[in-house]
Amino acid sequence: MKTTVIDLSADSFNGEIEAFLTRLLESDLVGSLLVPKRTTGGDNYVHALIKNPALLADTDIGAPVMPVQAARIISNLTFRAPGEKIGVVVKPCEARALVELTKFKQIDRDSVLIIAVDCLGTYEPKNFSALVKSGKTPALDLRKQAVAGACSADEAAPFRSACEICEYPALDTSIVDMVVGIWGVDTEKQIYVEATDDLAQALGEKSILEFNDQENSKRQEIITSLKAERTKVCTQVLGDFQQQVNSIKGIQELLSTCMRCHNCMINCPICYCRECVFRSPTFEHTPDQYLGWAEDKGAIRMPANTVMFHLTRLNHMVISCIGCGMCDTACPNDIPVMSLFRTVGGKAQKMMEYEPGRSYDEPAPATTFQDTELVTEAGMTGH
Amino acid sequence: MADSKFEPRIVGFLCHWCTYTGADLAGTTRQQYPAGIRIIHLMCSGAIDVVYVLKSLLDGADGVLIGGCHPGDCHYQTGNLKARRRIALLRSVMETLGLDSERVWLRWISASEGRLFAETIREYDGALQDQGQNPLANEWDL
Repeated sequence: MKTTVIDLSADSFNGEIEAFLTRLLESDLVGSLLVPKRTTGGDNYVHALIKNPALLADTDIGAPVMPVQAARIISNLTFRAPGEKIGVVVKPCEARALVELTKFKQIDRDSVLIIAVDCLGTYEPKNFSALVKSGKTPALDLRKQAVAGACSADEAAPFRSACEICEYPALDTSIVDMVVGIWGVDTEKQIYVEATDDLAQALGEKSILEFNDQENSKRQEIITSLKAERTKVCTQVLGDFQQQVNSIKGIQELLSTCMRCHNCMINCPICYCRECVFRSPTFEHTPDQYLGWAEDKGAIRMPANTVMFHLTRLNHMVISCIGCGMCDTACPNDIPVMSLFRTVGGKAQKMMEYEPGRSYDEPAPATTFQDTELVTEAGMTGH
Repeated sequence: MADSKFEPRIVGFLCHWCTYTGADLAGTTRQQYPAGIRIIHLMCSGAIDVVYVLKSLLDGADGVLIGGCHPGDCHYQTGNLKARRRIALLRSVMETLGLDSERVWLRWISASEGRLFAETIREYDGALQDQGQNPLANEWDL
């Protein structure tokens, strides 16, 4: 890994990043860039697939909003090799989802150059929009706080609940090609960058970015303490959640307002199946089937199979759940889906000794097995 | 309940190459076992998707039995070991949410083990008698 610190002239963080991205896009290292760019409406940032360097204007790699999980977009772009390298600017949870999707062969890793940016927390899109419309500058406000190692959300809007308990506010270059560090960095004066040896060499040779090996030990300290603090909060929050959802009654209360819109599934980066079983003929029941079930139980909730939908989705993908919380953002009725998935996922991941997003080399648990394992967990002790 | 004796209903997902044939053998050799099991024929225990196990339980089955080949004997090499992972995960999910994971059993029963099949059903029936009726059988809001 190579590191560098870029000194800035008067508060030109976005300008310097834009200049770097322009040099990158004009080089032969990438054919296009996927970067968060301010919408024409001005109150949101969405990923734009950019070919023309002139359109890198109004991009902000650290915009504290995530209307769509970039891993989903990148899967659409690279499930077949696109024939050129795409540089993608992502948040840590998006990069971790990329790792999982790569294992499921939904992303061609060789077709993407991944640039992960430290995440200071994100707002729900509607809240971000409201902050901007009220004249605030949420991205800049957070970046100024990050140097001291703690970012508070604006008093008018909290961070997304997934961000409050996120243990991955920053990454190193083990799963990405390049990292733009913001935690512990005085971004009014400096930009901190890490890159893999290969990328650093290529960037240097093409005069895109020189690596001067300057490090930032403060960032590392801050990340370590942030992780410890968030882990504590996470354990507390999910522990409380499990107290609420520890019986069928708890599950029924949790899902009381579910309208089976499938938004949680549609927006989940890990739920990648092109055809979900819940949208397949398996669940196209005939009228007499519904009436038969109603006869059996006296009544059934309609649309049917609401609890089964969530329990099945848990079983199908919770092992790979990276906790980005897009399910929470997508739920029109504010069901805390992320808390459900992280609570169940934490225990399941521990059982399988698996951490989603950690490494490209660890196979997804459902695709592998050991000859002797999980005898107790599968309930087979003594048999 | 009006019935004097509770007869558990078990849904059995049985592998074609072992437990299903074992169940057949149990019958032809006149082994006695409770009649509450409803058998669904699979080509491999590895073909089980949890959606069918969950459907059974949420619709009110008292227990689900997945029967596969002993490790090393899988007709498709390793389907049974993949099933074991899936069932371990299912049971973990159920336990975290306070659902009764003992209503899901995975057992290795070979084609020649008709006696073991009958014993397993008797054992499961007894265990479910103790656990009582699946409370989800009376829940409409699922």
